[in-house]
Amino acid sequence: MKVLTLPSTDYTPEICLDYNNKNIFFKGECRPENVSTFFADIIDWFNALKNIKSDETKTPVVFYLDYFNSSSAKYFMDIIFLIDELNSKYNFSLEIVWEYDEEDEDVHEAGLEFEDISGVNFTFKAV
Amino acid sequence: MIDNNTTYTMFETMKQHKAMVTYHGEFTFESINNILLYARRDIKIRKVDQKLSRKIYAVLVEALENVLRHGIEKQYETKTTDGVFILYRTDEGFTIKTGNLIDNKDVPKLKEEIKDITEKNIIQLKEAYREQLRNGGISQKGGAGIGLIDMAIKANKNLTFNIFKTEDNVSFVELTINITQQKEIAA
Repeated sequence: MKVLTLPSTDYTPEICLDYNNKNIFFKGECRPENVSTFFADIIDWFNALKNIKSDETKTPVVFYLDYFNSSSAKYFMDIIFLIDELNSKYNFSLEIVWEYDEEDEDVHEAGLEFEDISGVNFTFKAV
Repeated sequence: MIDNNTTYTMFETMKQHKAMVTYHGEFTFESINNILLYARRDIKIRKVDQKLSRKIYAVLVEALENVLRHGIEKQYETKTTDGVFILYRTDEGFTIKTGNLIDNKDVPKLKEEIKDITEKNIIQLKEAYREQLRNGGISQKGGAGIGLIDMAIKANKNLTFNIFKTEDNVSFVELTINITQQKEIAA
């Protein structure tokens, strides 16, 4: 499975999507200039998992975001729905780990909201 | 021509209103980044409570993106529009003001969105936000249709629009958002 990595900028998070090494994370701030272009490759990467055989190993998908704008929220929601689909229909065992600064109630609450809307169980970690 | 007195009047007006960051001119993604940088620095210098400063930052991003996304576009290579922005302190917290020109044909849709937000209480706004996350698409302009709702929730509905026609086909949209440290209304 191909690896997708993106370095962080002032307005986009560091991203690593490496299924084989069980290293999947989003870290930083997310308010890209063009939200649909920015997320296109990421959504494609998750969709491409449907074409490989899952090794059924528990794999964390870590979201450690300082801030994300409302347009990005929509895409993170889509990614979470995709993860749910990969687990339920394609035998993956992706675990959403929602990390947040222990003093950042807003990001914590945003995670709880995503969990509630998607019906997927998150693991929350105050960092 | 802007004479010296006008410059002084502008300076005094901004000072009197405790303006922290002001900007007038072309809005691009880059200029927004710079405004955010200055605003963030100023908020930090003033040792604003972290929860409040995070809220201000979140609303700032949405408000500035709103100007860039909906302002009348100039025929440049990168997306550019003219606008004005002021962040100032009040006794209760902070106020953000943005202003931009929009095409008159976009006014009815905006008015409809404002009416919708005004009529909803916080609980209904939160449900609308969730609904947009669940089922909303991304518009041609790159918005997810939840920016306004998000701002309204974060500002506890303390936001007002003032829209007036400036030319035959153009209107000016002024958005004022008050952000206070008051406890949010329980959802």
